[in-house]
Amino acid sequence: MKTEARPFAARYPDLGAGPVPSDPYVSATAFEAEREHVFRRSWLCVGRADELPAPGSWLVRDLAVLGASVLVVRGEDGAIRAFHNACRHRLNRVAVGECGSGPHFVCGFHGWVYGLDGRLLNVPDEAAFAGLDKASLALRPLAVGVWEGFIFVHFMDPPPLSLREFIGELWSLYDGYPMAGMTRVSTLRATLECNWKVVLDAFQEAYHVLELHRRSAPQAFNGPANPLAHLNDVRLYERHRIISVYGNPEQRPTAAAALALKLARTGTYTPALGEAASGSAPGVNPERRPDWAFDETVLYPNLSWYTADGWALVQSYWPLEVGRTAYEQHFYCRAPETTSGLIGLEHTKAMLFDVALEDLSTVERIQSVAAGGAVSEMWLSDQEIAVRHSHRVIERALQEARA
Amino acid sequence: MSATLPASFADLEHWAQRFGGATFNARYASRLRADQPTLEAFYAALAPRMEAIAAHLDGHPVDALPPPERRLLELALAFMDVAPAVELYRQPQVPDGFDARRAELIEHVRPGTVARDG
Repeated sequence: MKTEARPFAARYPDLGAGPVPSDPYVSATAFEAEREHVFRRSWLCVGRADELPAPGSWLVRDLAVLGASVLVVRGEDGAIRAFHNACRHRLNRVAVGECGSGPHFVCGFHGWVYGLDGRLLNVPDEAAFAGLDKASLALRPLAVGVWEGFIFVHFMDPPPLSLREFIGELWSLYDGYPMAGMTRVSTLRATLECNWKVVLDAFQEAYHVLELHRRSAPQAFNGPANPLAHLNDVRLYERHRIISVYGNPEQRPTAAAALALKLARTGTYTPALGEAASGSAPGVNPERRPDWAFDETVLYPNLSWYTADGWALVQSYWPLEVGRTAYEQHFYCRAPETTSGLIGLEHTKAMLFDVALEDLSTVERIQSVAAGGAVSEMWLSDQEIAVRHSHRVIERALQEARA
Repeated sequence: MSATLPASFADLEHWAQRFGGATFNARYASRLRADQPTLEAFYAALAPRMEAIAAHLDGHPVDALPPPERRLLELALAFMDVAPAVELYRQPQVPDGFDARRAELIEHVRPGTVARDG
């Protein structure tokens, strides 16, 4: 029956069912418009609060898409603040490196000193400047907000929407999800020769798992009860979206996976390998299905948050150029307490790395075809409706800008 | 590196030289450099010993492993890094995968505090 084969189109008829153009993957015009009307107008995630453990902790995030270097700092009062990482004297960066900690920032060019709250504290040989008003020369602040441990900044002053309005209906869905009890274990990084949306779209559906992950994850996301790896659910919001991915309770682990589970209790994909349901968060596996692997929340424009029982992934897709993207995948789980726990965890690290190599194998091939123009539209399954929604949300943002 | 494996695992020393390493990236590079028969021999040698290795290591504090135990841990980690190639791919690399040399894994949780090359 048609509605069973295509349940999500029936729920979201406004999205249509026709092919989706690939031009936004390669259009320089679209890319320039995305800078201003997608990224500059959005709350952007630049890290997690756990990356700033103590007063004086800081991190720097270079955002090529907005020509900016962002400095995020935890102040003496514990509050997180964000600034343009630029000295008010001669524009040098006041923080160099990816992260660190200290009582203040000293620009390495001429030694101007800024406090953790951004105030300009000291100027060497200050008397040699005419009319210098230190009080007006603080680091330029950015709007900042924290939701579920994610740190967001906004480049507009004031932002057109508050962070709460931007997160919208998702705001309370993760109450009780034990992210705070997890530790960031590892980060996978790669620079990809493709548009940011190509790699984002690669991670917005599970239709690909039967073919692309046939070796690494056979029978993880499909089984006798769901041979085609259909999603448990899709929930589309104004700009964000959530997919619930099926997990096969009958999956048989490999010998190494079974050993890893025994040693660490940190499984990889399925409830059969993972921990008991942690599910107190109303928005994570809301139907409490036992045949569930994880939910993936895609926060517009460029963040994916995978919430599973006992582990989580955070992925970001930062545009560098129209055809170049910085990809990051952060893996979180409960910190192992024993040495054998570290051994078990290593299996998950290796599997995540290998699975990512499979996922990333397509993106540059797709980019080169899109650039060549041999095929210029994509036929999307109902199982890929999140990709369709993503394209629609971005196109809508660009249309509103043109209006 | 002067440490050798604990005495009860001394017969695995040549595998530690071949596949041990302090970081995931170093161990994974060793996997990529090896041929498949070598990976399978390594897997076969380690698989029956893994539970004994874990039990031995749990007799020491996780953040203060003596050098021989640390070397043993890195060998056990290498087993987990190599296992997918043997169990799933039947070749060192992910078949048709993205070039692993273009991906970097940064480890925020690692045994001990002293980083050294593998």
